[in-house]
Amino acid sequence: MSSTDEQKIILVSSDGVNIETARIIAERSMLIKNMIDDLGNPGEEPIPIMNVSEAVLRKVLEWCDHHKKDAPPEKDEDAESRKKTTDIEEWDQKFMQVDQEMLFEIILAANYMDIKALLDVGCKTVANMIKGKSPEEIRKTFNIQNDFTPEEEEQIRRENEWAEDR
Amino acid sequence: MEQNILGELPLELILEISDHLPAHSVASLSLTCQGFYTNAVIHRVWARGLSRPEEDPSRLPIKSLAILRPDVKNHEILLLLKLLQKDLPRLSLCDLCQKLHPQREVPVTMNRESCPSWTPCSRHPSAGMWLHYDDWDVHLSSEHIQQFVRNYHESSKSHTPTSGIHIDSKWELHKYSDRATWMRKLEIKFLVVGGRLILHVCQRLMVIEDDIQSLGIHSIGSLASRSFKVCQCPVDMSDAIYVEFMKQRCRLSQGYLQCCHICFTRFAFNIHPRTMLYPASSSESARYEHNLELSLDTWTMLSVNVQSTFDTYDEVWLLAASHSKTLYTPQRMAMALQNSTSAKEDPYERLRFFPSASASGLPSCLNLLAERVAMKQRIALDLREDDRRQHDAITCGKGVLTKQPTTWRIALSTLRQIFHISCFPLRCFRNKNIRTTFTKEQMEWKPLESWVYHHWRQEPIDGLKLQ
Repeated sequence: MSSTDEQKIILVSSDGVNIETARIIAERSMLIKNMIDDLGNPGEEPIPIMNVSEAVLRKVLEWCDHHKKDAPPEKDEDAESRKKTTDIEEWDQKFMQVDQEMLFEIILAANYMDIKALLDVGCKTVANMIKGKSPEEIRKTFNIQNDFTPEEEEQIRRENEWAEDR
Repeated sequence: MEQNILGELPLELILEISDHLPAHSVASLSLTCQGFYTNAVIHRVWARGLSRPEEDPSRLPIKSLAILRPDVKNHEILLLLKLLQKDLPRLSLCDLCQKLHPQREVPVTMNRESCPSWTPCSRHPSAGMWLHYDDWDVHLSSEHIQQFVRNYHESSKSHTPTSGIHIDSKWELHKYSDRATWMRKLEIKFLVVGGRLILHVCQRLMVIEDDIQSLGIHSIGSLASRSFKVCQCPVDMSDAIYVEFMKQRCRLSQGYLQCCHICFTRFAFNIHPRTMLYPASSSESARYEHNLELSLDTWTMLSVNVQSTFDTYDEVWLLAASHSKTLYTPQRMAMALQNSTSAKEDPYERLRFFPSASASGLPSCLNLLAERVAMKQRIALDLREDDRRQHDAITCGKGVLTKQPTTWRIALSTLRQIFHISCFPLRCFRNKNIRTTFTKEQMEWKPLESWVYHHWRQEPIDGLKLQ
């Protein structure tokens, strides 16, 4: 058993950098876990992670390392209650204090590598950036260009019966 | 310039993010650009969230509104409109009909009768959402306060001073049945103290020395009683109850800063001989040496957090406003207050010192509020009638009458007990019996923010008993 824990594997990022890590850490990713299961003989061959660059991969593995002892995710249990809350534990909050580009890269990587918990943390972080903000404030936060004319905006308010003329 | 990364995320991840957001935030996001707004999948997410009625009222996000308005079964639209309003300075949100209306200027000075015509929308008369100062014909509606709060937000963004409401009636000269003259003045200001929005009203009445004797203290008390108003809480018409009421709300042992036990308005009334009316030459100051001035300062909390938007269902506003006619029933208001968290965030945790003792299980002060509201509704007509008679009586010189709608007359009658005053004139006990710590500057009515804040924080809560 200890051999599995200690076992090292090598991941290859999209920009061709080899990163050595413990199998237990890497297996937080369902993608890697399935690949190891399929390939057999873990550690012998480097595993390519095609869509993830070195910097992002290291960041993702940092997260996996911290969460390697977490219980495996329950199957769709309490999915509703898990989703509606945006509470993030303290370490994860700190972990997510990165620039927006990195944040979205992490989300994309978590999605690709199938790390549900990390994807959740990333999405919650973005959700918290949107919560309580007006459309204009969201535009400012994410650099979104407003392509509505004032007339169109008024039209939207009218259609949805949000505004009255008097 | 950075690019819009959010827009480049695949739809499944946008939906993943939306899963963590309430419907109004998803709608707000979709209103940022055409790409999001025209996306049918995202549209379905928020459109369903905005229209689906919540069967279990305890799950609604705005607790007080859920209690006050059981007919509103979904709060998401209101929450979305609150967000939209931030971007639309020329529209104002009516939380009664839950729509945005064109911004408008509501006059401050008008008759009580014209207040109902200034409703925020045609569907819900907002007559109950006012702060009335009837004798001055000054009426502040929830729209005034909403406007102030929005101005405050704007100016804190741009670091400019808030263009708020500052009402100053200037000194009005009045005649009292050809025998004497008297003056009065009203000043209303909004203060922001420690993040709280506070209405500061200063009402003053001045009698020149020569006229003090000819008017007599009863007439002066009567004039003050007509003009001055502590708060919007209804008060009983019968004298005995009224005296009791006044005794209860006065903190006899604590000197000058007192508290209305229903709405928690802090007030201080003072009687001081004034050295002068206006800055004047030395000869004039000598002449006005023994003028008598009565002043009533009141501080009413309108909102515990000025950073958030102002809503008519806010518990603190429910306590502060007049309830003569309102969409919210007294029972619902009492329940909303009982469940309130913001009203409890007073520096004194003020609701705590009214033990829950009544049969219905409501804290007794809230029962009292509900009772007073109901009573006020019953007596509203009588009151108006009584006011008119009162007015006639004073203008034709018949002097003091009973049944005053303000606290002032009783304030004067309990004054004797408070300060152990046995006789007038008042000038004898200057600085002796009135335990005042006003500096000259404060007496001249400079902004009192720090002063109020100090006393609001320092004042102990014992000594005020309901039963």
